[in-house]
Amino acid sequence: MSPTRTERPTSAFPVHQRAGIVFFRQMSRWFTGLFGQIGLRVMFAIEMVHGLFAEPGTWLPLTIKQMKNVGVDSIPLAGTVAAFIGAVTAYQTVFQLFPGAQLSAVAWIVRQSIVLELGPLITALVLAGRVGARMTAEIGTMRVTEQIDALETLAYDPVAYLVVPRFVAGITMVPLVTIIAIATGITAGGLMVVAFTHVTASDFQTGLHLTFIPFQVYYALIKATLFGGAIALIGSYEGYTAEAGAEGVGSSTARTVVISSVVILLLDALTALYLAPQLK
Amino acid sequence: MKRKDEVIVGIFVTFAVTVGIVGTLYLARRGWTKSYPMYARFDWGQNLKVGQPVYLAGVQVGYVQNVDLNQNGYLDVKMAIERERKVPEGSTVTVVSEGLFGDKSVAIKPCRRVEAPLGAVEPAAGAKPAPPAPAEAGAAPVCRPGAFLADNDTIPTGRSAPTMDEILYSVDSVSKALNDVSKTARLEFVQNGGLAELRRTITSTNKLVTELSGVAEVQSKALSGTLASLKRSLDAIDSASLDSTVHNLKAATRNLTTLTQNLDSTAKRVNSILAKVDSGQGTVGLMMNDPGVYNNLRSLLLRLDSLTADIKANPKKYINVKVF
Repeated sequence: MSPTRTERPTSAFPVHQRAGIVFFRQMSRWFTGLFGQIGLRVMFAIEMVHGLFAEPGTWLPLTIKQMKNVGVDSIPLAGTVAAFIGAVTAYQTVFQLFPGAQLSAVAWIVRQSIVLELGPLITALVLAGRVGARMTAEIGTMRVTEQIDALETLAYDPVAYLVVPRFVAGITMVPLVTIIAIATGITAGGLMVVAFTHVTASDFQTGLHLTFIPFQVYYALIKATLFGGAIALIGSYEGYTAEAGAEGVGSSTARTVVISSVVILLLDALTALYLAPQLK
Repeated sequence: MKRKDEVIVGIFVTFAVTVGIVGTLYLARRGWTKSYPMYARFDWGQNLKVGQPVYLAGVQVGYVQNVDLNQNGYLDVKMAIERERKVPEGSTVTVVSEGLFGDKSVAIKPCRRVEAPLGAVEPAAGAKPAPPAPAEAGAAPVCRPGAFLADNDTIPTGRSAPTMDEILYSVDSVSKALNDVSKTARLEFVQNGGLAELRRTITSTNKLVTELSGVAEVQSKALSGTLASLKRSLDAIDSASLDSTVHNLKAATRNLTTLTQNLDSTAKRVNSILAKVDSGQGTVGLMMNDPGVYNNLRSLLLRLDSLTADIKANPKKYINVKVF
């Protein structure tokens, strides 16, 4: 036993009591750490919102570049992923129908899957890996090379300068990328089943219109906006708090992808919980 | 470089927003076909949803645009019908099931079109069309040529096919009746000894059939004997004698025919004589029809009678015999 442990009063306790005390101590540390991390991110978000409204002159000129990074540069990847998902979903659905079922059900299933779930979610997960990781790497490198400290020295608000443009780009561009992904996925699904199965273009077109209400698109855009904000905020925070060295930047980047993915899934579930009943 | 980014981002944002708006409108408006509204009213519980297809005689002509829940027990349904499609006057609308998922669609059943019979002459242009034939009971009304429902019109609701609930209700009632029948049968055949009686009846029937088989066997033998005797009797008949007999019968029949003809002509002649007698023609007719003859004869007889009496009374007055 180390000297510090022997000094603890619990060292005199019986073994089973000591084990219980150690367990509760570790649990309390874990929860303290968890809530502490959440609190730090919330504080960072509040700081970001402050920068958003307090210093538009700082972040506004930088936003276009971030919008290009988040939106335009992500189109090839997001479009390709959506096209494959739409095509495969549609093709698989054709062979799940039992004899006598309407063929238009294929388009209906593809549309509902892509618009309500796969389009926003897969796009967000893809962007979490591509855009979120890039944000962390950029800001983290600036952190470890003390460029952020230099900004502070030059009286720049580093949050307004680095985080707010990325956040604005995230909440505006991710929904637009999602729209493109949805359109690409449905089109690819239609082309796939019309070209390779007995489903006709008329069947597919009929199914596309079935039970459609515009709120389904709004629902997808609400999700995408939340996902975009989460990706930008998490990616920026992890970079902003990166520890010194290349290893610190690397681990922050990995953490960004993991946390972003989990938060995206949580937001997806919460959105469905609150908004899905409105889809009736 | 910065300027280039702005242009690229602007193009992308414009493109994505356009795709979003156009795509949403395409899905919500069911394509770009121009349409006009028609209305229908159904009972509650039709499982109608926005976007479900509307068929006219089996061809999709529109979709359900809105379903409004009327608190008086109706669903007020707004349909968008393609502009180039017209709904004939007299059509009725029903909600029908489609596919195996229980999907619904709205079916417009058009009026009856009366086919001209083959070879019928087409009416001349401008001529008044013939009045439509009366509708049969339960059949759709006959089309009036060129008559269509107007935009925003309400299509009358037709008689819909039985719903699954109604079918299940019918099946349930049938199964209940079958259950009652089976219970009664069980009561009668098992508990009240009906089955034992049935067995006894079958046994008795079997015995009866056996006895009848014996009787039939005996009767069959007797019948065989009778047939053999009859055959022998028939063989014994001389065909030549039979032939001459038939020939004679034919000759007798011919003679009878001749005789009948003669009798007929004789009767005609007698009838003509009697007609003459009745009309007072000829001697006999005059004698038969003239009362004077009768009176003369009667007076003659009276005078003869008195003469006879006088002769009897006074024979010498009349008979005076002188020998010498």
